[in-house]
Amino acid sequence: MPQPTFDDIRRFCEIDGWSKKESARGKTGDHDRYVKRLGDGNILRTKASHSKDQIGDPRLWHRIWKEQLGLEREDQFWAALRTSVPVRREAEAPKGTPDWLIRRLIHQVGLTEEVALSLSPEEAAARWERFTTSPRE
Amino acid sequence: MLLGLEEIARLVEGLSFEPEVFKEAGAVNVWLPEFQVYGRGKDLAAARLDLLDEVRDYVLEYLDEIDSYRAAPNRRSHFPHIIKALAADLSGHLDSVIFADRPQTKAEKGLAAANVR
Repeated sequence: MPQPTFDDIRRFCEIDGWSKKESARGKTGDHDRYVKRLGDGNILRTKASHSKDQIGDPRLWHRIWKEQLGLEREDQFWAALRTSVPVRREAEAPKGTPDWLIRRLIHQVGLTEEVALSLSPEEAAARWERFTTSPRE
Repeated sequence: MLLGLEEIARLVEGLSFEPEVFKEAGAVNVWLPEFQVYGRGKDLAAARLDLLDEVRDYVLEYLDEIDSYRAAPNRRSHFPHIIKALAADLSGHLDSVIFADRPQTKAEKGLAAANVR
């Protein structure tokens, strides 16, 4: 299989529904940063350099697709790029919305309890992600 | 109860970081398995600096969202190393803690002693 470019990683994140995130220290830097919260509570993070470089070392690439992108097999990455369909992750079978997330949605985002409880785990995670990544007034 | 930086550093002194270096054409990467982040640069020094930047960013992000990160199955085990990196950075030693030399093995100690004689 080929080695990916950072553009490939950026495109994968867009297809797979990752959120673009600013650096925690507010710096713009020369990377785009992405985060994805899975229904089972796992939090995935990766970055894509603005350069046109390829990730040339297969050992590093293995760590990226497995540990940062949370994939079981490398071909899931290439299939997502080829088909523009997000990856189906087996481990994502949600049991329920985490309690800490419900509390955050109520006390920090300002949702009513009724609205917070009506969200699916994925919707709740996405709502929290939007809140944490949107600029504050 | 308040703990000082020295006490915190002592609590986590048994932990270590084990960065791995990957060289490719035109770039060097340093992967940090304890946090699943990497730094990249045109040479080793630049890649190490970039990794330190990544670590500082990750530590802040983790502490900013500590409830969700400590609850995340793939992040909760990072917490002791987060504390270690934070204490090291606050005391100005992040570089030497992340890139610490590993302890000498018995064989290496023996070799060093033999060379002194």
